[in-house]
Amino acid sequence: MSLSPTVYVMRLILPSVDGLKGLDQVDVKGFLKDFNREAPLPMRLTVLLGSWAFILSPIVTLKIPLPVFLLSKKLQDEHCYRIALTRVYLLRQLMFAVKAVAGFCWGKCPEVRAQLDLKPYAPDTGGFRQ
Amino acid sequence: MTHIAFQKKGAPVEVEADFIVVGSGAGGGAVASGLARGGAKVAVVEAGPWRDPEHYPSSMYGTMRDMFDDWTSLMTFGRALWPVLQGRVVGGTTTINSAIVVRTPADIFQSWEKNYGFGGEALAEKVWAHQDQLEKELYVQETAPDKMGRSNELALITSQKRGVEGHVIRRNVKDCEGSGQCLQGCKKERKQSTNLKMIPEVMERGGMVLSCAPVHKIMLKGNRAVGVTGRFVHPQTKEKGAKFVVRAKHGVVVAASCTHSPALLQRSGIKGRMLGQLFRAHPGSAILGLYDDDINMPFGATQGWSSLEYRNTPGFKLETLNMPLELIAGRISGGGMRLMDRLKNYRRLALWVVACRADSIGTVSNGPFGKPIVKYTMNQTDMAKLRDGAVEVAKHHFAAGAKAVMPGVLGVPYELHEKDLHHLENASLDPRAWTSILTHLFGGCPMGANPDVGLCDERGRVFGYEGLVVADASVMPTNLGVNPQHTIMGLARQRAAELLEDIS
Repeated sequence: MSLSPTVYVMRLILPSVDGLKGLDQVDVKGFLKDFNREAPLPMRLTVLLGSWAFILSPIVTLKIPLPVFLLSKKLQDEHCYRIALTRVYLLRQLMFAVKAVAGFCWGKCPEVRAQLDLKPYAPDTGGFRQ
Repeated sequence: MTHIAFQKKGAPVEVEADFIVVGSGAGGGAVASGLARGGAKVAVVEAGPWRDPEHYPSSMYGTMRDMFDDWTSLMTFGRALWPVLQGRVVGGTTTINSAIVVRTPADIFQSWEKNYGFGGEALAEKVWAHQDQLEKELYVQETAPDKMGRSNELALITSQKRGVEGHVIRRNVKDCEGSGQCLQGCKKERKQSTNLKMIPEVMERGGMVLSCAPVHKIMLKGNRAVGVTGRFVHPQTKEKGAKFVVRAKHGVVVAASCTHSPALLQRSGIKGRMLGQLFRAHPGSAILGLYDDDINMPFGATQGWSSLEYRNTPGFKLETLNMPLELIAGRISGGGMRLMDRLKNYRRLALWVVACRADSIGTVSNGPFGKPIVKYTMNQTDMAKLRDGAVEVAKHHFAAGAKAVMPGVLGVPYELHEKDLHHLENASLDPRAWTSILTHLFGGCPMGANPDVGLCDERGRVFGYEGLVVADASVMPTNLGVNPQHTIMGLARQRAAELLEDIS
């Protein structure tokens, strides 16, 4: 796992499949750079905590006491599915936060939008009346 | 015309007006423009920046960052953590809502009179008269059929087919182009949000606007409100700027939302046993329907159809809601390859929602760093309503031709076919099993006949204080069962009329 935990986890949550690009083909690092600069601290901490919880929780979902990066691709994907539906509420909420932020990154990617025949977004300038 | 945006640290910015209005959304915009029309000099003080349509974001990331209050990170504390959605920008939530206009139902004024000792027919007549005027000012109309979009069309046709009340929503959107961007702010300038209609009018009539200016405290002289203070905050860097002091000759009107108004009053040392009480909402959940043909949610009115068939019994309303791809990615169950396979169907999904007319009551208090704390848990009766509403949405989807529905409730299979509906009918009533949000907030500074039942009197004046009036949804002691924007504006205009009467 040479990536930052959040990049790593987001790529697993929204991976590429036939006919649809996932976050492994999107500039997640660039997105997270902006996110970490712009989002409020509690939100950033929630996403970071959620990412680590994801990495360390195969024991909860698969009963395997290993971090997710030591699992096979197939088991990683199974963990990814099950963790989003875990009965442990706080863990599920943490995953929801990570998934929601991953969704912000993925859904605005022009290539992804093109694959779903959606118009690209104009840039978010962040401008305001001075 | 004066607009003071973020000011760097230095000498305090000091201004004076006849009235200060804290907040610029439905309540703040309507009361400020009403006062300005009566000749008063008004200073509107808004925590968020002033973004014009050319500044509006396109993506939901930009929307969270630029338009929503604190990135929607405000959650309810209770059995479940549900997000509380509000705008934080000049125009408040009117910039990011679906602009739905529903006249205040008569039964609301009756229930206020019966249970809280104010309201009744006299108030109803006044509010309705303001609503008549507001509907003209804001070009309230139905969306044209060719701009409705497929999801709204389907829901409408199906309600006719099923014999269920259902209608095209009337909205303060002039000639909607169906760009499906109500949530991000309407770049086409069709939505008549208060930053486009009312706040500019305040300035044209000699008023002023302070933006990027979160109010920290209301200044009191004895028991009289004489002004507000705070410190500018840069909307991008969050850098703290200069202090501001705004003094009011006649009064301070608080319209900062159901969460921020009670928190501000508490921070300012205002006393009242009902302060922060009677917080209510219309919690909502969405049910996705999967269709054979192209739905294309990004085209059409963001919300174009509604049903009030069940408003009174059992107590919920149904609506369409066209949701952007980014939010659907977070909303659909699961993760990994299976989630991605599900997202491939985005164009064939229609999202319809149930908003529960919940009787559950919460509280709002001022938390650390000036953030409100909302304590709220849906009781079992309300959860049953929410579940009944979800079942009704699912039935509507099936009647519309959906091949499956996706309720997103823990313990219920991801995809339900018509024969499997019993799974949803028997779904858990634990709020933690549901993915819900809190919109349409009410209470926190409720009106009532006396300080035992309300923080404010029937004119929104805080008991025990002079020159301090509340004019947003926080004054409503009950929920409405319909979208609140029109009621907030109608009441706020009535507040303006009363304040002008007082000073004349």
